[in-house]
Amino acid sequence: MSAFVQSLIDACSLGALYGLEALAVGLLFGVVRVANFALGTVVTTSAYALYAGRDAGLAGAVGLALVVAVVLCLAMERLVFRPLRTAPVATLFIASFAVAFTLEKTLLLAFGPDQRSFVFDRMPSGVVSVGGYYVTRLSLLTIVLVGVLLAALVGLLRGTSFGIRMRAASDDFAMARLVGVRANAVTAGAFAITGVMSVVVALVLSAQVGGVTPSLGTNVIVFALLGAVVGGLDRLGGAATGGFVVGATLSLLSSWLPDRLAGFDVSFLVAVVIALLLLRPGGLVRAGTMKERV
Amino acid sequence: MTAATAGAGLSVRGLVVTYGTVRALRGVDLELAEGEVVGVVGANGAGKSSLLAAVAGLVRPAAGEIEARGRRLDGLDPERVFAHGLCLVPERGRPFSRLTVEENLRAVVVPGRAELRRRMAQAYEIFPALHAVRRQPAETLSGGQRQQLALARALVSQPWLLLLDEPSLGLSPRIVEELFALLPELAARGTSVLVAEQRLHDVLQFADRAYALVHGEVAREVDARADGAEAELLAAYFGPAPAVPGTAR
Repeated sequence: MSAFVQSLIDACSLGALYGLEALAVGLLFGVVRVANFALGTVVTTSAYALYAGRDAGLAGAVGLALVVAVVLCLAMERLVFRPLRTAPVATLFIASFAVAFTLEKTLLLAFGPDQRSFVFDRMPSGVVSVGGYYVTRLSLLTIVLVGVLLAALVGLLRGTSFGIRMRAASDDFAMARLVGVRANAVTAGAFAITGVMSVVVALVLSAQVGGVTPSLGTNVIVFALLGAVVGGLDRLGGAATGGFVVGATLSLLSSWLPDRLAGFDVSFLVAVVIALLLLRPGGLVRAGTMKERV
Repeated sequence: MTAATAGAGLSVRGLVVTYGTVRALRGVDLELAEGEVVGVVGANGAGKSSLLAAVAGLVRPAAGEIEARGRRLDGLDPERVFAHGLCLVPERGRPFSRLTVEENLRAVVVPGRAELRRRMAQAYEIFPALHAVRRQPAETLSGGQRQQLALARALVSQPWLLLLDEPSLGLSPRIVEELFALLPELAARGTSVLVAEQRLHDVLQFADRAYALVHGEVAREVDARADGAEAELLAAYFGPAPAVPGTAR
């Protein structure tokens, strides 16, 4: 039992990280109808920015990464997705692949294929004991960071006019424009927020692996996309929940699969995802079915 | 009143709207003076929604001019048209379904928080039923409440011209009656209304003038209070009424 609780604690950390990335996916899909595969490369680019700013200390590096990630996301919106605003969802998805591969290959040319290692002294390391269970300090930081970011995002989306307009645009983009919501400001805002989220993901991921490679963010975005689809792409709570479920399931599978099946954790995860989609094709989190009343 | 005075009201000239090879509007001319309630009647597919969508900036016209209060609006984005004081309530209202009633009103772009609160209070005065459900998501409302919310949301923007696309669609006769009774009241408060409707008889009860659209063209324009206005519009809809034996002169 205690081993299971221990693995659940570990699963929460990975789940929180993937949940955060899935939330970024859901936010963009809600507003711009693009399942943005390039978000993974924004995570990678942010990690390289952390690497580039490592001599300036943790705060300086995070500041640099925030500027780089937000500028990159805004450029992506302005140069690629804004001109394609009226394009079909499939076109946007393919465009996001093109952006992702272009960025990834650019990073490869600039930094080479080898891992660039870096560690911030002020990033937590080691483990702490909580009620007899061991939790790495990095896991705790991940959960706290994701929690703070989620709370800030909920506060923004529910408590501010900009957030409410962003949710309105996510609900019905054309209608939002009809009540004066500026389409460009809302989409640029959504992209910028995903840039900030990507820096948090990059910070945790690079601390986990001790550096950065050109494919650092690829796994995260693949699982975050899976999670967002499982949870319900068009509902923010759904996307985040789906990301958490996928991350936590993956972590549990890697802990509990017998040795001869080790290495097949992703295959089992995909089986779970298919089962969930068959059972709840509209997503794990969805509104109750409502009849139209007159 | 038959035409907008120069520089005031809405003036649509030679408006053409196409979807691919389909011509939804084929050179529509329409005038609306400030303070007027003008109806646009026509069957399904006559081009009523396309006309309102083009005025609101949702559809770019292939040709023609749209001028409101002396400013050209054709080719502007919907949010720019909104900034010029025009607000469209589309078919079935389209409230933001996952937002609460209150959030639907707060989503409207209004200068200043205090002003927003004042306008929201006014909207709740006009639609008191909405105040009781203000914390409910719009998707839980009845059809009538949703239409009321859509109207309230539009009124929060205090437009000088309200564009209503088939507001009666899917609503019970009692709710429709209440809704239509509101339109002359709005006009009296200074909000002009351009309303697209299939209910020709009802439109003539509350409108000052009406246009009949047939196959994307204005087939007739009538003064709603003139004798025989309904017969004229019906004739535009269906062609001239056949002579009834014994009544022909």
